[in-house]
Amino acid sequence: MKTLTFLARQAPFGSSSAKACLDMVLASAVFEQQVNYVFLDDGVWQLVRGHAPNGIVAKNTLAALQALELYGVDNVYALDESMSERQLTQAHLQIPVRLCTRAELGAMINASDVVTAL
Amino acid sequence: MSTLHIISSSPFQTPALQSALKVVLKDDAILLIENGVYAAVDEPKLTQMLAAAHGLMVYALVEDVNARALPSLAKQVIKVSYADFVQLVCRHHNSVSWS
Repeated sequence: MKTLTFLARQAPFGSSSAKACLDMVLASAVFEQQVNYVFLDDGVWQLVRGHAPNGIVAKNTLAALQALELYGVDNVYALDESMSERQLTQAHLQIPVRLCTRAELGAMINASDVVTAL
Repeated sequence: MSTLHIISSSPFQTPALQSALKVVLKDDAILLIENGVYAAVDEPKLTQMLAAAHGLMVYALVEDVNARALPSLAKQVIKVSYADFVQLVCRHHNSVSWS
């Protein structure tokens, strides 16, 4: 088993990065790999509760986020400084995440076999 | 004679808004669309940046704001519809897209 770390760095809409990252996370989980899913920079916007993308003809990925637990993806993190820069707290989020510091993220990346950022 | 500056990328990721604010004149307006609406978040640095452009009208496309479920909007930002978007473009002599 390998440890795979995925860094979600883009806002939820406007590009397919958010969706692609989530698909890679779920696919990795299906193959029973150890997955770390980390939201940082504008990626933390993906976690905000209450997305209503009907008006911009986009798909809502929040439901899929809830599937993470079912797929056994327990290590979901958000970078604390990305959250605070955007005035976000855990109360704004759709799913519970663990907050991590830059140093902790650095260590996590270091300890991973593969790191994908998108 | 005035210009509508349309910002479509996140201020946390690109300097599009900053670049636009460097060249705005007093009758110009700012319209935030797509990921540009993140500039409307009620956050000290952003509100300061918008406030520095004294008296400038700042609009945000409501569909994009709702899609992203922005927790709170800065006071000076006015939400507009797609129809208002068209009117804004017509009302200004020129429009510039900053992405």
